[in-house]
Amino acid sequence: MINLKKLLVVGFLAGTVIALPFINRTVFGTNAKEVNVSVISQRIISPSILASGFLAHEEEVMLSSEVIGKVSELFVEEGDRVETGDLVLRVDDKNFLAGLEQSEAAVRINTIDIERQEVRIDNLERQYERSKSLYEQNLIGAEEYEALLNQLELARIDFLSSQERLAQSEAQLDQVLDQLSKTQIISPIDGVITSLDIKVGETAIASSTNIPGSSLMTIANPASIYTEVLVDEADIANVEVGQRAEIVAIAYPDQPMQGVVRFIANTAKVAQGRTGLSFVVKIDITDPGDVVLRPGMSCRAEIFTRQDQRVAAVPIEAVIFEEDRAELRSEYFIFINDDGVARKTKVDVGLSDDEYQELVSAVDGDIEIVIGPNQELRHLLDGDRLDATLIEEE
Amino acid sequence: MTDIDKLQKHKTEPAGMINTAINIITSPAEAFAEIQERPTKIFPMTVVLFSMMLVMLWYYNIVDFDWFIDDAMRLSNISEVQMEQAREQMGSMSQATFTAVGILGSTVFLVVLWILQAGYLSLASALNGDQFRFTNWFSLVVWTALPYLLSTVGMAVTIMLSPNGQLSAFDLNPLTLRNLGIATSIDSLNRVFSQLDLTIIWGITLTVMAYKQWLQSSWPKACGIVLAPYLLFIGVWTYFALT
Repeated sequence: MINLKKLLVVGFLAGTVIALPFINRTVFGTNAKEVNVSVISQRIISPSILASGFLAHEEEVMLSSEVIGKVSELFVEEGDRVETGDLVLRVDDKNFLAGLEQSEAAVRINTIDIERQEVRIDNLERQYERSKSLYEQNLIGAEEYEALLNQLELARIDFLSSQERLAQSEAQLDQVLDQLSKTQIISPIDGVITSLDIKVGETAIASSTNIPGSSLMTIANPASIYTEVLVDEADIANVEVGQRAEIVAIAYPDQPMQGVVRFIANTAKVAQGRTGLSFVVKIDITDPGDVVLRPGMSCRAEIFTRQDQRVAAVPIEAVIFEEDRAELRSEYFIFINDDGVARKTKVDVGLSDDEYQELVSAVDGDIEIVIGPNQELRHLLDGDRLDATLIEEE
Repeated sequence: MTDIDKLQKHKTEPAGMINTAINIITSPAEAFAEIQERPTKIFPMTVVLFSMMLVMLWYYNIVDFDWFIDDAMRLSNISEVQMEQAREQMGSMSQATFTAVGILGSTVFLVVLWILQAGYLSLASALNGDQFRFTNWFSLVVWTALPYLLSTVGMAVTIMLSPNGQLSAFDLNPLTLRNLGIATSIDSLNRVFSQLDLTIIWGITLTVMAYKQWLQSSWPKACGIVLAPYLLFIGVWTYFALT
């Protein structure tokens, strides 16, 4: 038989254990969640897209030689400022000067030859006039007369031939002069020597391919520096000429520069190192700050795709997104602090940037919204008790 | 049927087992005599393990699994990035798998602990030259674990009162020293308080009493032999905690 007294003891112990959680709950209550709250504020939401690229000069020329020859003189150094028409480099012109003398001599020879032809024609014309008169008086025979006529016609043909030779030698002279002029490299723009790729004694090569000697130097106008970025085709619809942009050169990560979108390419291309299509977007740098701009610098640009406006906004982490794919439903919620109790409230949202989300729904500006910490917020439920700390947003 | 046979039959009947179970709580001396006479194991093992598994199964079913992972991670004082990685790793395990691993792990751990305790006491007996063997000590160890049933009852009530499944494993047992309001400024000690509950202390005390009764030994000897492994464990733990 089980002793009743013992059963009562066991019952008492079990009852005490059962009562403990109730006592705990009554005395201490359920644990309130420690959260940060904030009131809704008016903020500037600046939705943006990110793109990467590099700095480049709009006015930039790469000089190359049209003649082959050793560089005899170099009049500039990298970084020198030059103006349009300045002589910057001279290729050795000895061969071209010799060719010039040869061509000039050929012109002179041909000129003399023409003079000789003219004298000969004059002489033959006089002989022809005399023999014609004698032939008409039957003092000479037809054979002699026709031979003289033939000599005159041949002399005239020779004269025409000499004239063509003179024209040919003059053309050759022009060609040599042109070649000679190309031994002098002239700056076509005002700018700065940004790259000097050849030295005195090296051979300049007339070539379009990128082999040593084919490029002499690069001259660029430093005032024409701009940013060229590649914008993904999915984002290009939001980009417009005139939009504000913030450019950060990799070398100056803490010094953003201000810029304005100037150009959007018409055609998308697959850029080197990328798989998807992207559009070239050019951004003028309006305020470089203290950044020393150098072409070729890598940079990233944040293009702000909407004009800055003040709207009701909450920190982006305060907005909870819920999606039900089966019912094709997606909704946004925020948690409101209702006298120490969390109330889950459905809201409509607008644009967002990295930090804030626009609230389109009409929400009373004085109410407190739970904004963190994330560890509590991600598991917060409607009706949870809150131990709220008000955070003053800047 | 002799009187002794009747007694043996009575002890192995369910009513006899329940009587021993009640005696373990209300009059341990009687229970120890019964266990000495008939060292049964299956009944107390089944009751303790089954109740523990049942409560754990219930807990893992109602707990908000994502919250549970975050709660477990939060106590490990790791960075947000590490927490995210750990969250992903734990999140890759389904709640059912986690439940199965948790229940199986706890069960195996408890059984191994009992075997170690019984093994230690039987070793002490062998050195002492007394008549008690592993089977006697194992039976005693599982019977003295019976007060743990009170903890499982407390856990069940706590689960019932949880409104939203966000119930920490550390808040589950109302009989842990931590949940009874015992706390210190030392974190590592607080962690022990959150694992140690009154029924464990009760069980150890019962083992000391049983040892004294079975071997007619003095209190200091019984305490010394039974508590030696615990004192050794606490010493080693204290050494590492302080250094």
